[in-house]
Amino acid sequence: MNSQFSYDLDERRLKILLQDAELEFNEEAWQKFEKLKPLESKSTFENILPKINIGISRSIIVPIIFIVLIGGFSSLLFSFVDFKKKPEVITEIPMIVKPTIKPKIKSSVPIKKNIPLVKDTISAIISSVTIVSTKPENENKLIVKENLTQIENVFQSNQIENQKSKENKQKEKIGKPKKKQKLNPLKLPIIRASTTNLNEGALEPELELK
Amino acid sequence: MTEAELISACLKNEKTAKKLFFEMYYSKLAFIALRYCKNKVQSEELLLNGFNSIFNALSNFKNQTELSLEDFSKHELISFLVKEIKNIRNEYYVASTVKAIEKKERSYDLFLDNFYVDFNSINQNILLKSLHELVPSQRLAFNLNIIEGYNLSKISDLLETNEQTVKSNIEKARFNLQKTIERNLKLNQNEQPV
Repeated sequence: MNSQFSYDLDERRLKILLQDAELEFNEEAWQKFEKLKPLESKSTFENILPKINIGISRSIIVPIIFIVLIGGFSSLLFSFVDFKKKPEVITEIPMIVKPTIKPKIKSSVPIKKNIPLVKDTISAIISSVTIVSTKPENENKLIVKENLTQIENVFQSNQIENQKSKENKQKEKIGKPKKKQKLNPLKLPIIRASTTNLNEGALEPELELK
Repeated sequence: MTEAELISACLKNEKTAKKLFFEMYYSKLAFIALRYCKNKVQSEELLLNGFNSIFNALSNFKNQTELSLEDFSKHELISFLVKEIKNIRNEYYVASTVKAIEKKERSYDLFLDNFYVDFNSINQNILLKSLHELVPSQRLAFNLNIIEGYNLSKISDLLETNEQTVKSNIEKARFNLQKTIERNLKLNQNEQPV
């Protein structure tokens, strides 16, 4: 309001003008009133209950609502966090070994176990041959041929021995099936060859330097 | 028919007694309703409902002996009007803000404000018109305090607000009423033929 405002109204005069003033009665108003439905009286249940008017100002309600909201939100967050350390429970898992049943194959023919011997001999021979391979081509061919004849001889002798041993085993199995004979490994002849550098004296192509 | 007989007949819901009561107090109560409401249409509507509430409350009149029947019916109607006007919330709480935003045409006439207003020449029509232009909260406070003569605590109980709010509403009502009366008086003088 304006500070320069001066109140000039005569309130006493206003009161006289308005307080005891009257309006003319008209019949239409009564007819309208008759048409108007009477006010529905409030239910008895509402009348029984006492009216409670608690004057709570906005300055109280708003902080309470905020406190409740913040408290609720923080409690919701704390519900996700566990402050107590739970003791670690060590549980031993028992090792259960499942028995695997392997089917036993009963074979009438005994398994041959002498084959590795031959292989050993062959591998030994081949190792000796590799040593010889450093010689020139012509000499190598000769040495290889000699070695091959030796290998063939050894192989034949081994085969004969194997046959003999088989026959003996069969005989022993018939008589004494449980006993195993120890086989003496064959002693192969060691081939000695010179290990000198065979490339000595050979002409090597010289690289042309540009 | 005596006052007691009239009341007992009204309580028995007799049509003739009710009509008699209506005719007796209509003129006074109608003007009260016109003071409190924003226009004649609203006042007529609320007056009829107010009569209904008075008839319902007549049973309480027998118990008390302080007030006459006229004063009792006036008091009953005023409390009903206050309650109803306050319940029209879109008017009661929004009207003041809408009025504040309203744009008014500026006048650059320097002698316009020097217009002499004789407040003793105010008639009832201009006063009622100016009252209707007030915001509902200010109109109620002005009527209750200045015309009816209720004290601040009673008004604050009726309006369900604190006394400070009522006091400020009365002050605003005084300022606005004077301004509206001035304006309406000027308009009234301009309209009159020279």
